[in-house]
Amino acid sequence: MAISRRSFLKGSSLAAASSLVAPALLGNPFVRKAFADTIGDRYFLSVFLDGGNDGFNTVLPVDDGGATLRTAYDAARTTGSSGINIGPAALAGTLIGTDPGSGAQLALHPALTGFKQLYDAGKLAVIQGCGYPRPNLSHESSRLAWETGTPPGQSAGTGWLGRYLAANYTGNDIPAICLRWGLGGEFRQTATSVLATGRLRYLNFPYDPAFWDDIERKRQAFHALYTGAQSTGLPIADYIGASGIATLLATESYAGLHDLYESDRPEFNQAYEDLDERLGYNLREAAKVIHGIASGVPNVHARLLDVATGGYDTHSDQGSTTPDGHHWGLLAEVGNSLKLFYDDCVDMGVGDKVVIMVWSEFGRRVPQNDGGTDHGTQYPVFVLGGAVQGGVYGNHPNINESALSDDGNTVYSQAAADPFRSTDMRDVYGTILKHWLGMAHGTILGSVLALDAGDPAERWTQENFDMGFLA
Amino acid sequence: MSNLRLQFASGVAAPTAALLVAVAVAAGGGRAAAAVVGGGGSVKTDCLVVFDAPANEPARRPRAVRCTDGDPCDADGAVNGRCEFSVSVCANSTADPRCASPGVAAVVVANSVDDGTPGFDPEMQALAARLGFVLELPETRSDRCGAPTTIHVAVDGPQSNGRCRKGVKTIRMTAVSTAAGGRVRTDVDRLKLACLPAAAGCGARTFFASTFDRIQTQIFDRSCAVGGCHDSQSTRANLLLERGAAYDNLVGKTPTNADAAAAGWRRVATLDAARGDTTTSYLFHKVTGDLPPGFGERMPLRRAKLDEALIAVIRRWIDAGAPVDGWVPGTD
Repeated sequence: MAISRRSFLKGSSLAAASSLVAPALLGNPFVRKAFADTIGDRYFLSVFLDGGNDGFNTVLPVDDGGATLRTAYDAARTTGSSGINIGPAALAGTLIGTDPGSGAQLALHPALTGFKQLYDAGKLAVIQGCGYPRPNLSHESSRLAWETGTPPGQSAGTGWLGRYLAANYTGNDIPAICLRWGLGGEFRQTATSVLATGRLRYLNFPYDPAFWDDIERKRQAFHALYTGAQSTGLPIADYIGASGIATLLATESYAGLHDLYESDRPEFNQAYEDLDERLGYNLREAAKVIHGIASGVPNVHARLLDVATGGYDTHSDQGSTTPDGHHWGLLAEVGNSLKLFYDDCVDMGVGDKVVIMVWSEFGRRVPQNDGGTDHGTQYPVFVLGGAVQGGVYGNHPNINESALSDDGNTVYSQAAADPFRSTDMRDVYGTILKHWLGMAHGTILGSVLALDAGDPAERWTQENFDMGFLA
Repeated sequence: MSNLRLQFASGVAAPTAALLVAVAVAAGGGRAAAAVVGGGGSVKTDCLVVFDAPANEPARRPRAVRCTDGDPCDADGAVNGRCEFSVSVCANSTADPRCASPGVAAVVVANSVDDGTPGFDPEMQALAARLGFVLELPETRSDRCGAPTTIHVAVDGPQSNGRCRKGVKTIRMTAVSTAAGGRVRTDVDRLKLACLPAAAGCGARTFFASTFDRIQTQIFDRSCAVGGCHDSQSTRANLLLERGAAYDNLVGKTPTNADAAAAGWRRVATLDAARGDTTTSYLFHKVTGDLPPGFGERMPLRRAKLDEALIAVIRRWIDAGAPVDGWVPGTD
């Protein structure tokens, strides 16, 4: 076989980067397990905003309501040349509901016109004050907390969706795909396969790129190699065989989704080009997978999807107040890209089958530094889709200076009577698991999300998996 | 499949290692004299990524931009101890006809990742993010430029002798091409930005708003609230010294060091509104290095001791009760 060891190793590293394959995998790869009845014909998409989105400039108080939220916002964030304060007049076009805790009128950042349209259509849930106890200000640690659904220091290493996958799937399928250059940590687990590729068209099996004429024989050889490895009874051989088969099948089935989408959906394909936003291009990859499943492409079944976009670590030169500013551009990217993706889903006939959660590893500090904001704590999560019960959920954090921690951040609270009570991330996850992914309440508590011990005012000791944004 | 894809995949598969960036059309507007700066290296590959930077005087050294605080080249226009430069990065530049870019597979801007490394600079991060905002890797479109980023370079001083020296910040970036031209090429670029003190513009009251603002700007921002130390990413010793957080974390607060706490010290110990006590102020001992056994190491850790004049500013500030506003005599 004309394949050099070097090119194979190079290719294998691509395969390793592109797929996570678990030890106990794949009996007969061509006989799929009947699709689990948990997610059914639905889809779930996680959208990660990497860097820590400034929540206080994403969902803003327009007035004080029964508290002093607007006054506190104006005290912490300045206007003027490097100011990031967005005034009530600029928010007039993106008003949403009122804050449940204080009654203050709320608005989305003026760049989020796409979200405003979805909100007005009742398809966008704004979930304020999301976080976890004893927040960590490190990107790594806090992202890990959100990915695993466990506060820092308590993580078992698996993702919250990974534990869901492990409870419902065996190695016979690829139930999830990350449309980015690496595995989204929320899918981390060892029971089944998750695929990861930033662009589907780059997904390929590492045959020797220099010789294409005998590809079919190479394919047969690799297939025989991997199948044989699985019948040795050795765990390591089983792992190699299973991961090889999974990679082989995935590259053959998923890579073609790119061309299929381009030829079947030229108008939406062009709309993403016209939008010309990173997140838009990433979401187009997700749309290709959905279109592939809807078209019945063999071996394509990943209904849990993940995309990411970055640039949110706005320590400096944040640019919140004018359309040429950085944070303004980021939020315009999010709102416009997701609006287009939602429209694409509606056009594909799955508008009410897709639920999207938009999250970040933390928010930003309430007071601004020179022209940006430093690492923070609670922030608003967005959940959107045709089946979502739109509206405002959860309270705006208490941003009054007297209520902030020493480092200028809002404080996590679970005190029942607190009008600024935080939303624990696990209540958001639990509501999605229970009301969208079909997991039983007790199973969620038993195998995915564990309650904290400790002071019920400061820890997550009582779950609420019926937040209401999904019926 | 092709080598290009492998190259692309291996270059982009580890986004945590370095901030990978991509393109958009330059906003263009507003700046007076600007120049496309290749940034160095072979002229045939120097167009993979280029700087769109202020034009230097003299023009023959475009990679070392020098500006005097308050001159027209300083975008803030004021003698305030720092110069503002507007810089953007463009991929696949067509400015130099001798260079034809085969497309950019990845761009790395040095010190742009907030991962606890000491060199992390939020302005480098902003520069990289703005480029990333407009690139779709591998990027083959021409002249994809990130929106301009404001880069601040502070004048170094005033020092103990009352003098100021020029401050310098260097932007370093590396671009990797696609393999479309038959081989993968790299383009390593740097742009040096220098802010020179104005002739009569070296003074604490010119540069800073108050004694504590001087401590924040000249000491904490530069030597303490940096990656891996007392920034919000790392928050060593549970002490955050970023602007806006530092004061409340210091004055009257108990140190995390057990021995210092047991001795009744405070990070900054005040007696009343107008008096403090340096002998039980942990901050003062940490910067002088006068620490009993078990009280930890001198700060900045494993770096040069602070300028004596700056230590004196801290001492006088604490002695005067650590006021948040106003000037303590002898600190300007």
